[in-house]
Amino acid sequence: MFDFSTKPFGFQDKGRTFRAWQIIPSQPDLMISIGKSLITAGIVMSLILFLIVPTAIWVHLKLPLLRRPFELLCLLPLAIPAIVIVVGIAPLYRWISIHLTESPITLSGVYSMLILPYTYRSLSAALDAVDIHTLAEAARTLGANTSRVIFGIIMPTIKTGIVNGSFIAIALVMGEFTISNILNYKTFQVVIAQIGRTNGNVAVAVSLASILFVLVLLLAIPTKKRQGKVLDVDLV
Amino acid sequence: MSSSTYVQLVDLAKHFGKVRALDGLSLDIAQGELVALLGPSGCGKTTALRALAGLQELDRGQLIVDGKDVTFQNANKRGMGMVFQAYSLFPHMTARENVEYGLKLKAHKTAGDKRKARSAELLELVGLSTHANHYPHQLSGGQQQRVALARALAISPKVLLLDEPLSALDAKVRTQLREEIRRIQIELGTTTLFVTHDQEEALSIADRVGVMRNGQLEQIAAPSELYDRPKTSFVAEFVGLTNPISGKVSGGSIEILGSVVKTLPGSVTSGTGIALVRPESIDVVASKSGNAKVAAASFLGASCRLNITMNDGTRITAQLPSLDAAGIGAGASVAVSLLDMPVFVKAAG
Repeated sequence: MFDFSTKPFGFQDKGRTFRAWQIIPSQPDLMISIGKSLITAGIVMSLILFLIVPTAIWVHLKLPLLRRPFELLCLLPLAIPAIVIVVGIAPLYRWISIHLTESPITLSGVYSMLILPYTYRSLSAALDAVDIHTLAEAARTLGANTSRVIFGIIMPTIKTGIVNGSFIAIALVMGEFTISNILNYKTFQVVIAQIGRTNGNVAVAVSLASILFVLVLLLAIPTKKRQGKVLDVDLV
Repeated sequence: MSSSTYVQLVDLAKHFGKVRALDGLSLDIAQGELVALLGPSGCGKTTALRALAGLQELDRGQLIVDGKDVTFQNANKRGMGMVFQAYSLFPHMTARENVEYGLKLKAHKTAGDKRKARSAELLELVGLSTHANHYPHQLSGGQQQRVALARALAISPKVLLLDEPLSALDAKVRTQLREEIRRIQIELGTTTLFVTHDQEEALSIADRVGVMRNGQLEQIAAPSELYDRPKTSFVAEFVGLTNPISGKVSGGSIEILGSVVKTLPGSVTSGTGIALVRPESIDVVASKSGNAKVAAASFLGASCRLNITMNDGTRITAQLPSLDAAGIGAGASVAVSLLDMPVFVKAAG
């Protein structure tokens, strides 16, 4: 991709050129779409933190019988093709764009549904790795109410799972094309596709930049770090 | 209810499907007392403790603490300190932060300076003041349970509830820690309910031990009374070792191994019965014309355990001080008699 993005534009150019990279900022639609896609990703992340995570914790703690149905429900977006989802939600989004707003930020609703399979798996694995029941009971006996148990004890304990799920969600939101294109929203990927029709080199450069962005994001996921060595294990 | 009763469990009942975890359990605990609930798995001891903590709803019954009915009070408002069997320290907090956690909450809100002083005092009490800034994964199992104890005590609990806190630890650490728990409990005078399946643990640190079976209390008494004067065959057999020896019962006595010994209240009163004789109630003396032979001898340090086969084929186990057992080895001919200690006699068959 780097090779394509640095190839000469026309006959007058020779050798390698970074013109495709240099004119990225001068693409007005592109910069706006990046901003809006990032806002959408932010909204999706907030929904993960304040809706999906507490719900997953609640199901694990209080409704163990609902775990399987909840998991199946969360996996559904993976089984349903994107085009089917679009057909299903198109009337809703048509109504939204006529009566409310045409901003692509409204896509955060459908994206929150799309990211469920990835986010829930990540959260579920983190929740299974620790004895959250005992932690919750210990906190309750010390005087913590339910929201303090969820936000103050369980969420910090499964921090890595939440961060993993959130970053995967951002990557998905930044890379989604099918739904936004069919619904006619100018998201980051849709604008890249449009640029690609007029200037292939710039489109490749932007795509490479977006891949690098997601890669940096994934590398930033904290691995389980131990804050120090195990000390004095022979002591009581 | 006696004047010093601080905690009352009245007629507690709880079913899990068809299993009766608690079946009319009643128990009184005096202020500052350490009561241990002992029993086999599934006897309901943990359910009783969790009910008192507010972590288990009851089908029936009443819980009274310090004169107040707490049966329907939420766990976070009961003011109970609890140490769990599983390691329960909050992994994202240091030892000090764990201890301070309860004091930051509304129920036990304490100002910053006082909170710090309290956590330092408790970590000192459990011998971990140098580990205050360590995270749980930097602490050994024993250290984690000590911090959990400090955390439970930090909120000055009405009752300290210990749910088999030592069972995940190795033998040496377990013995050391249980002695420390007792020391701290006496020092602070905290009313404590301790649940365990380890009889040695219960007998060694409790003021009173309650033996549970099928959701009911079989007997509650001081450790020595429970051991020496069991009221039921279950208690006699569950607490300590016993030799089942059959003999004839009459007039409050039983004739076994050539001796006549008194029977305990609750025993069979006539006919043939099976006496449950403690190994240390059996006296063994080396004698060439004895009535038994030693099949095997096990040296246990301060004492020695002898597996003995009587001339009539009965097999018994005796335990005597190692000094008295000197020279008595496998194959030795011995004279066996009973010390004059009352025994519990259950019905034969």
